[in-house]
Amino acid sequence: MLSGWLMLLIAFAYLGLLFAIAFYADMRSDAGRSIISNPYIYTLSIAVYCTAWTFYGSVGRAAGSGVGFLPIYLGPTLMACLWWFVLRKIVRISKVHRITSIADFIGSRYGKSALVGGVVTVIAVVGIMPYISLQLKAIAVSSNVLLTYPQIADNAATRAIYADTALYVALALAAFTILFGTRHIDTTERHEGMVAAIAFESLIKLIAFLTVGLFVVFVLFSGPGDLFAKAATVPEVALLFSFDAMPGSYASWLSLTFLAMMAIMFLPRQFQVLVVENVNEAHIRKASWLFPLYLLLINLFVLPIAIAGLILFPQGTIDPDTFVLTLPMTESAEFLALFAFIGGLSAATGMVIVATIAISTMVCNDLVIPFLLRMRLLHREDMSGLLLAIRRGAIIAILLLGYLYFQLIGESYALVTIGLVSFAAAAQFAPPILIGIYWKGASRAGAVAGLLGGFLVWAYTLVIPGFALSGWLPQTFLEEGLFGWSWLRPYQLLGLDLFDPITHAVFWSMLVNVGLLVGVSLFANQSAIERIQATLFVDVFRQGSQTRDSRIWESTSSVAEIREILARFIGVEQAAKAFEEFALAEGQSLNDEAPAESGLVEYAERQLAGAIGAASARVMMGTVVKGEELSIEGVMKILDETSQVLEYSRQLEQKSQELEAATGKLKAANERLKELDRLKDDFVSTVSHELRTPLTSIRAFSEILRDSPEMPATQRQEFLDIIVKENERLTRLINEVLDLAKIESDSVEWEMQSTDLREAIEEALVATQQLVAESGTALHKDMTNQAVQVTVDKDRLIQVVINLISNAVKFCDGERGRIRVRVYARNGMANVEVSDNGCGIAAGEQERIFEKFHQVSDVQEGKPRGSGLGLPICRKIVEHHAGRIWVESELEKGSIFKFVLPLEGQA
Amino acid sequence: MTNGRNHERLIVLFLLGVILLNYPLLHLFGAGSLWLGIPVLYLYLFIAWLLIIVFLALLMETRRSGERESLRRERKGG
Repeated sequence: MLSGWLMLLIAFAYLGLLFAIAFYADMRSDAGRSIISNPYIYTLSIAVYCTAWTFYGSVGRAAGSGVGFLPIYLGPTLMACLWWFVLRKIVRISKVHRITSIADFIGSRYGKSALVGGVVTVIAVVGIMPYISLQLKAIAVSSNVLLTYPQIADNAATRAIYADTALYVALALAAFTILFGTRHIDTTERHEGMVAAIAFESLIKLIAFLTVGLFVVFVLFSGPGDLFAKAATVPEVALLFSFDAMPGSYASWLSLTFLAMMAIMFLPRQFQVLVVENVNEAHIRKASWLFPLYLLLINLFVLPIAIAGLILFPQGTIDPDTFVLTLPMTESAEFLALFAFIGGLSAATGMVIVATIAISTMVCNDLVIPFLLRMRLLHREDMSGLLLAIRRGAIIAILLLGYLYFQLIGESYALVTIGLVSFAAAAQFAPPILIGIYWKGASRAGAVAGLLGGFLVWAYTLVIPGFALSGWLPQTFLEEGLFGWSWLRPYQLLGLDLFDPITHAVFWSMLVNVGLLVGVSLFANQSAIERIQATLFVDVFRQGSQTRDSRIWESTSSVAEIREILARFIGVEQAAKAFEEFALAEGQSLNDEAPAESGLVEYAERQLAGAIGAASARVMMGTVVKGEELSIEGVMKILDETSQVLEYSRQLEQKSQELEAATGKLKAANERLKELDRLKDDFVSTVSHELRTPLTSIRAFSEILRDSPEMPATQRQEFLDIIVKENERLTRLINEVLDLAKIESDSVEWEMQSTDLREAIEEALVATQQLVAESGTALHKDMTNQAVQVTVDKDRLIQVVINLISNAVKFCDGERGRIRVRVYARNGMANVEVSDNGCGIAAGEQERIFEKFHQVSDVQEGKPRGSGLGLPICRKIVEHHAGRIWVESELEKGSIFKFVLPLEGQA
Repeated sequence: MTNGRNHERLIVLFLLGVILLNYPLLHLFGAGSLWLGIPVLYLYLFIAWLLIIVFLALLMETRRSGERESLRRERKGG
């Protein structure tokens, strides 16, 4: 026997337990050790989706339509597949912008519009009313069912009493919600205690429903096979196995699935637990599959319970919505019935608590406060007391309105249908959110038009007919339409009579909502802040996660103004360049007169931050763009000083860089000087050595001649010859040294004249004729018969050729020596070759012989044969004529000295 | 497995779910017959539902090693 007081005691004890849990969670949260920060609690809190409607109403709907209750749970499962994109994006946006409710979210998206937020709040309040009334009805009905135990109350008996109970339930829940949700004002609008309690309730209702289900299937019947076999014998019940039982058939199935997909995200309470109360984005990952699993489990026994009820109770005597309670009663399982009641109470209170908290926040933040601000009724004192009062008042008002709706309409609909009316209202939020977070073009005007249009269609096709059904409006309104115009019949707008009322309402309201949102947006002009917000919302993943400041520039400045500011700090050219780069990256041209869009403002701020520091840039842009108390001139003045200091330091840096460069050059010059000095030393020592050799021999022979007067005349003659020769050698050496020094110091006067190279060669040959003849070498000349015209200092060039020939003679082996002089023109160059068949030059020596004083030592005699200056002089001369000289040689085979000069007219 | 591929898989799973749980596929099972003593429609819906959940779980719990690494770091940091 369950007495009234016992039931009441248990109910309040249970609420007390919830409160204790909430209190503990809040305490832990304050201590920084949150118990709700895990994906499992998050999943359970999302299960606030399963209300008394699920707990009692699903069975009722299953009893009438077979699998018709399932779309409400399949829809969320499908939506969960997309949570990782859609929900995560919404959560990210909400965290970045500190969103506190669905009204806040939509309002913020459309340019922080108070109007949009207000419209959303009104829709939410009106739309959620049926839903809250549904919970009140469920609690009232279930408690009355339990109270009449052990008699199983029939429809008529329950209806008589529960009206009053509902009022008490409403008041009790209001008190409880106030205790829960408005103990203090929290800046983040997160309620850890509430979430913990909701999660606990979700667990209880799942266990309770599964227990009842197992009891029905395995105690009342001997397993599902038995249950379904018995059901198959009753024709009306067997009909539930097929899809034909589903009213509205596939169209209704589809529309319910769609409604549920939207409801799971955009019912205010779902938005509250999914988005506002979300602790960590990563929790979405686990919740995406755990939550559908929860739904699957809680729905597993719905159809069996419905079928069992239909089999066991005489048709029409018991409301199928109460099967969950009444079936245990048939076996006198009173504690199971009580447990089922607690489960139903959990489902109902959970929904009421979250929904009223969410809506009271919206009413307070998006309706009352903006109104008070506009009316200038707020003073800047401590506002938390006022806020709490507003919220508490809102909670009481919402619950009482829910009660009122229940009183007015409650009778005309079953639980499920009432719930669907609310779903259809919540679906109105889907277009502005889903379109708004993916399409920057969605505008405030479009959102307002869409929301209002959808809301009006929803009210006309679902709410007002409810009044008609309940007898508050004439029935003719339904049958003949407004003013008797049949095309305005609320269930067959424009004569569309294909669908059931819900599908019909969803189709028209969504068409109007999306149509107006998109259509108006395409033609409306977005204000600057709308554009800014749109960009921030749509591109939230492109921004630096949560570290980013969510403050928005209300850009009233033109592109030109922004550029001017930038130019002031980073220079005109730099600013122009930066803007060009931005335009290029964004693929759009910048109109000087157009207001600067948010991306540009942020870009400019970033650029500015590079010059004067992030903090100053923020202040700067904030002032310029927003135009608040501090004047632009004031900030400019402050920052001009910064900019001057910056300029000085930049100049200083530049100077020091210049100095560094100069130092570098000096160092290099110094190195070069040192090198030259070393070269000079080498040169001097080599020259002295070279001069000493002939001098020594001249002196030696002279002394012999002086000291030996009786020397034979022939020998004397010989010695004198040597002295003369050494003298000549000395002279030649000195001449060469002087020559080289002259050429190197560029103090030679070059007498450039047009010359036939062949003539110069002939002259050189004449000059060396004697030398060649003496050595006995055979000289062969091979000259082209065309003129080889070059512009040269002829004497110098002859000197080169003489040098080369005398070198060749030197290295040839007397009688067997063969020298060949070849002249020809090729590729615009005059070529001269002097080849010999002498001892040749080793590969390693071939380049070095052109260095000063480098002598190829004769292996046999160990005595140098030249001054070591001839070839360096040749090279200098040839190079002066823009030519090139080199040697090709092989040991024991001979050498070919080659030089080329540009032909006349080619240089 | 790259993140992008996983995103594509999720979207395909969503589309697959929409197709599995709607007309006309439902029509195949909607006649009201029993299979193993259980209504075929009921059985089909719950099995399809469960399959979607299983695939969803597989996709959600399979992460790139890099992602897991960053998650661990995040936890450590936090």
